[in-house]
Amino acid sequence: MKKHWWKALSVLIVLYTIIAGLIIPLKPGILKIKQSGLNTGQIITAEVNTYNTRYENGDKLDAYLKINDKVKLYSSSSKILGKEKVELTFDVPAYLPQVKSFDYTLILVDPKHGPFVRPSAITLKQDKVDIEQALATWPKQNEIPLKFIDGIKFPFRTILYESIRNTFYHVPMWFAMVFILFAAMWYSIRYLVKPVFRFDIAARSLTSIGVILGILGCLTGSVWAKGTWGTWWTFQEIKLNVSAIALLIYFAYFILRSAIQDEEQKARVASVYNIFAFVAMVPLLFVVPRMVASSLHPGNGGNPGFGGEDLDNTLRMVFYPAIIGWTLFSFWLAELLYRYQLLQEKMDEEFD
Amino acid sequence: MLITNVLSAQNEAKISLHSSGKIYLVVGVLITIFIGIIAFLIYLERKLNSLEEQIKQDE
Repeated sequence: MKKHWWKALSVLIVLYTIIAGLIIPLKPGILKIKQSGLNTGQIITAEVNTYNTRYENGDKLDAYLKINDKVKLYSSSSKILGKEKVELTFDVPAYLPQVKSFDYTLILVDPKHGPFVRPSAITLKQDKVDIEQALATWPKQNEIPLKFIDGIKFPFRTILYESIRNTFYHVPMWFAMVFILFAAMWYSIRYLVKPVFRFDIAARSLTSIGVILGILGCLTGSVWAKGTWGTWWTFQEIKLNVSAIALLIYFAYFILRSAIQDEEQKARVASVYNIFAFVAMVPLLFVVPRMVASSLHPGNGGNPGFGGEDLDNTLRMVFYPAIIGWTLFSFWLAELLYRYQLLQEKMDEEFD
Repeated sequence: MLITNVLSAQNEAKISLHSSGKIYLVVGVLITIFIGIIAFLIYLERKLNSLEEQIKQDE
């Protein structure tokens, strides 16, 4: 039927996000590094385990450490040990133009995979810091140009690894929740303007779906946290705290409703509360987390915004449709609930 | 400070769902679940439609 097109569309989009979100592979990355020593002024070998690489004997592999923004240290030689294992040899000079001990970023590059990087990969320690001496005696490096390989692959991030795919499921649910609760506020306002009961029923059903989305958001976030942060919950993370508070405010909406007997008064008070709840939720979820000093969530606590480093174009391909798909899908659920509650009211009326 | 960066849940011997092709299995399972949920929703839609028709006729 023509007026249900958006429901079918939501199903198609969500199917797409499930399939694309799970099947598209990750870019190559560096998993584990075992270095033979720490001190400068010696030859250090590093055994590197990689991910999603297809190294074969004879591949021309280059690697370098980023000492600082201007200085690189290229590996003197490299050996392919397996499809996802290589051995690098670094001739580390006695002096490094850096602090005493530092975890250096490692970049691997080869024609097959392009460049890929791991920050804080290799630790080097020097007894004395002499930056001038370091720069004066720095060995000549053969610069290798970084040629990026095209292809649709998701970014490889330490800590997250494959779980980066959760971005398409956990986050869109929160977005959908905000849209749904905005609609709930909208109908609450409409009820206050013109006290028609179906506006109140619409507000109630939308709020129900919104709260369910919020609970699912917390649950999925909890599972993701256990796998990446090592804990199901932490009160040290601002986003978790404010999300819990926002959800509690909306739980109270239902408790408030059940406390009032008179139908009209119930609807009126609930509508006012719903508006307050949304107005309170917006700064809680979006402003407060950006104000704190540190956070584990992207975009909050001084971390670069969610659009910047955390979301790249391949992720966007699935992430933006996911938001649209889950929002539409949630509105379908809300509409079903609304129609059911409306029918229930009508039937109750008939039997009174 | 850690010298080796440890991937907590995997060791070298384990084959990831991806490289072994088993990821398609996971996708299949999830799609089955999702289609099941959609089927239920369509059933609800139909039920609600017929009830709404009934109410309209009674009026």
